[in-house]
Amino acid sequence: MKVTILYFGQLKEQAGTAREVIDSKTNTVSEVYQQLKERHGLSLSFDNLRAARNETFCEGTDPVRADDVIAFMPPMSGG
Amino acid sequence: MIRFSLSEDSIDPVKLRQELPRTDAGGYCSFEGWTRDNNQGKTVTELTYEAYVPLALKQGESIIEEALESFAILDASACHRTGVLSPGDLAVWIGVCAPHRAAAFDACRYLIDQIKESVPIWKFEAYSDGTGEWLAADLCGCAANHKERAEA
Repeated sequence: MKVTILYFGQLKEQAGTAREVIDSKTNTVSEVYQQLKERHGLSLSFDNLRAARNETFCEGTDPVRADDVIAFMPPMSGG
Repeated sequence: MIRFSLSEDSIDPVKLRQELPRTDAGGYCSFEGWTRDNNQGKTVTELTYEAYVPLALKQGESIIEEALESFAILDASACHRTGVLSPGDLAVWIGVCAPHRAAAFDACRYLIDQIKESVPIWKFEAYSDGTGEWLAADLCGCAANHKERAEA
């Protein structure tokens, strides 16, 4: 299934892109991240980031559906 | 009503403040976050704030709604910059009005702490030596300062 991935901050630099569409066979948000962590050599473990599914914060165990937009976000540093 | 906003242009605190006052408020408290020209011994020449805009707006509104429910305040609003800033620029503005000052101070502190922790915004610092880095909240020194003050 096609899933759109968004990266921010240091993850964007490491992935070399802010956005990509991937073909994923995995079932959950954390499994998608693991797949991308290995592909891009991302430094953060899933426990050290926040994820959002379709513009809502989500858990790693949340299911991924076709055409979802999944965002992976390093620790925030606004203010 | 929109209470949390992001701005690609300079924040105008006077304009934002004008939207808050009410005749039933006895106090107003504001916090301004400014960009420092130094961090961890390095000279900062430029800062870039990046946001996941739709989620940042949603989360910012949610935090302010929580503050309105949790503190005895009448209204609150906040605005955060995005884009490229120079040292000394205004990065975030928060305003709170309340019948009495204690709740205004408390809610203002709550809002900046929550914005820093949970609104998807990231800061990239460029240094005078040509290097730069994306910061994580715990690298800004704020956590240590907060702890010292809490224990003082």
